[in-house]
Amino acid sequence: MPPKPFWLALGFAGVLACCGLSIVIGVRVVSGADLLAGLSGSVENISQAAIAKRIPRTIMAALGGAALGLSGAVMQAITRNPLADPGILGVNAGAAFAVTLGIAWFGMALSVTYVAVAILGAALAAAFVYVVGSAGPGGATPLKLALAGTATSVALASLMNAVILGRNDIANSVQYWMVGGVGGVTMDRVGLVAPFLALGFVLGAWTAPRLNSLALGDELAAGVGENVALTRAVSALGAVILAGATTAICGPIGFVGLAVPHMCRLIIGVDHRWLLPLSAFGGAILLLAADVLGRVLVRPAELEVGIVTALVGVPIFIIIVRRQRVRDL
Amino acid sequence: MAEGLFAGYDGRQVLHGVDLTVETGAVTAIIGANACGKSTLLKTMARLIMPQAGRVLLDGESIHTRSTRSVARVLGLLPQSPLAPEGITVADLVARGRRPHQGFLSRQSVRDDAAVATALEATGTLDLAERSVDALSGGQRQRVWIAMALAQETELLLLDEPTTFLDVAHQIEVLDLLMDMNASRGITVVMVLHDLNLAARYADRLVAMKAGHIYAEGPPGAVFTAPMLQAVFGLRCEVIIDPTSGRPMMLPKGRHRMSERAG
Repeated sequence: MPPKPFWLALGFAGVLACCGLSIVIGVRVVSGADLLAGLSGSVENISQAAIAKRIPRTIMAALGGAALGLSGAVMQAITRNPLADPGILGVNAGAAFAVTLGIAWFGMALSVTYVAVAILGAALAAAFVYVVGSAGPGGATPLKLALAGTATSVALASLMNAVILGRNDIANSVQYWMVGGVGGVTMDRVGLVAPFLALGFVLGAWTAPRLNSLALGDELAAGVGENVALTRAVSALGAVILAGATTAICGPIGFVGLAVPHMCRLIIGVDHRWLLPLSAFGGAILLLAADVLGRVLVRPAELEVGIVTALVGVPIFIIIVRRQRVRDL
Repeated sequence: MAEGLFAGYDGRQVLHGVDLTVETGAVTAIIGANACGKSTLLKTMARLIMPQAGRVLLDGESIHTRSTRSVARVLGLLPQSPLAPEGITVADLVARGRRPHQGFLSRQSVRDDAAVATALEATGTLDLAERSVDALSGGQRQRVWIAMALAQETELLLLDEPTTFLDVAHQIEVLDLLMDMNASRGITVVMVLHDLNLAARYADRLVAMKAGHIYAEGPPGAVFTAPMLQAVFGLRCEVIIDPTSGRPMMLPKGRHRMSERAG
């Protein structure tokens, strides 16, 4: 097994490679000359303009994928639940619902408030799912949390449909956004969400060594000098910010946060100081690759990235549930 | 160390005024019937539970107001059922005991490596270092947890029933190991033990608890008597001197299988 820094470097190289593919490959085939011209900011013909549009989309896919991968890894650690994922735990749905309400009832426009509202919705949904999932004997078991989260997601999705029903002015854009994707992302939106994601990544870095202690059980974590409640709270905040901010721009994208940390754990082990950065790289790679795949699979149309990640993620979800050690994270 | 402790869970009081001074450099065993508060006492002394009244003092300072990390450099803890992350190796798990000595970047230093190596060596787990903890037997795993606590390099070690779920040979092995640590490094050991005869054999001091109070405390020779066991456990028994250790040991008296002589 190669050493851990090798995998991390490989992950980073993978992100860069996928960013390259995401700019080069699209619905429209672009010549080399137009590619270079487009990259240097020229928009003289359609091909060059296509390149210019692919740049923010690529950045958003990389950032959003990293955010979802990291968020999923942190959620799995703090809940000790292998099924934890911002999609499954209802966090993305909470963010999406809050944004929909904001648009439909308060005419909320794209702004910092918009992202903040998404994060607030994500936090409320996370708290709600945790309370419901912890009720009853046995506390918050993995399956109870997953069920509570899935039920909450479904309920919020129906509520969202109810809200936009008869609102033809917004229905189309909301429904398109609900599928989850990075098509049409502009540099403005990337700039809007970047500070929130940066905060989320910083909190993730702070949390990594502490999650290692938390993995030993709450009592032993306290025994080695960790403030267990603080670690949980800050980690959860970071995970919710990452998932909520990403959902605000890209819509709810599922399964990245679930699948990526599991694959990274197989590669690099259970040390969060390595697992968290690799999960971020892995999430970026998955979202970039899914986005590129979505552009070429059904040419000349596009498949939204949320659909592609679901196709990849569902089999992984089934494999995890079928394994007997679901409880042993 | 513990002063007038009142503590419990969710408003239910378990400890009703406990005063206990742990003798430095000694091995102390806490015994008592189920639900008498012995685990609660240990957890309160380990700052896992905030007392409703009273204080736990460590080097003259309240343990619940000191920074938890500075406490962790002096006081180690092995809870009853710690979790091992799936697939973690023995060496990596033991290295997590170094956490209170590491800074923000938490790079493993030469000192950390040395402490881990010493802990593995002392617990006889050096040749397991690269093995996965999942694949170990119960006895090996318990030695690995003790190695982790040792790597923490604390003067004081609290253990909650370290021999539960182990067969008798491994129980002896674990207790012998703790005695080695106590003898060679002067580590003060406080543990909750279920097996009374092992407690009487290994401890320098016994703490017998009953219904949230300390019923008796002192060296086994003075404390471990038939009347004490009758009072604390409600068990009729005979206490004899164990010929292998010279320590007291008890033979329970039930309603059946009693010889004439035993009365």
